[in-house]
Amino acid sequence: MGGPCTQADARTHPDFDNLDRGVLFATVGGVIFNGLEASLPGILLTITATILYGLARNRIANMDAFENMDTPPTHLRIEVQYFTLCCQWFASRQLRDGLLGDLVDPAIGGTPETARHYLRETLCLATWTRAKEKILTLLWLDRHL
Amino acid sequence: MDHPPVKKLSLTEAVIAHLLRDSTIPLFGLELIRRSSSGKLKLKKGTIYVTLERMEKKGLVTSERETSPPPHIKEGDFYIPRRLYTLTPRGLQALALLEEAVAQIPGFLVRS
Repeated sequence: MGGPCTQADARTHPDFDNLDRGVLFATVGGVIFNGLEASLPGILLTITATILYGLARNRIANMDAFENMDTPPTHLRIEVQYFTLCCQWFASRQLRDGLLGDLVDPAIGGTPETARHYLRETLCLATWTRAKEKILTLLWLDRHL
Repeated sequence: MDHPPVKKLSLTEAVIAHLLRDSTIPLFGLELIRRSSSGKLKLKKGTIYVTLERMEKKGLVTSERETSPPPHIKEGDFYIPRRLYTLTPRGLQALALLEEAVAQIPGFLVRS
């Protein structure tokens, strides 16, 4: 037995991967069985429940990370609170800091339009990449990342 | 933190590890994308930070926040410290293992 487990440890504990894996397999099973029953609402409900679980899980894992944050200047007219909220639910603190740090580049942060376009586009791409990475990892296919 | 034994690097991880090893200074995400643009395998802005985060969790890279602004930033300009990445000995070992494996592939299979 190891030492006492803190709340932060619990959120990144390997057992949570097993929980996520269980949810993923239950979803795949749910989609297959609802498909056999030709129940589109059943399939959609199963997928919706899984997405909600995934988002809540990511938000809980990010809970302590979003403190003492730098904010971009107001002249770039970026809705930082909204952007931070998106990162908390869909991404991570590291991604938030990375993308905001990229605004230092004149080609990206030169005008409010280029800055907002960059943040929106890259956050969408990164969210998709994270979801894909998570699913592949849970299916033991992480060597294909 | 304890890490499991060194695993094989994915293609994106290998490109990042290669660029970090060749650099004399720690690099930030956007710079890694720029440096990869001259090679055959280009890093994408949508994958770079996700991959760096994964590599950091695996203990292949470490990161620290920039301590001083880049030269083009003037006093009073907008500046958020960027995260600079460095390859760890574990990352170096993983890259060396990969290069060793690639070197064993017969030449006619590698040439395009």
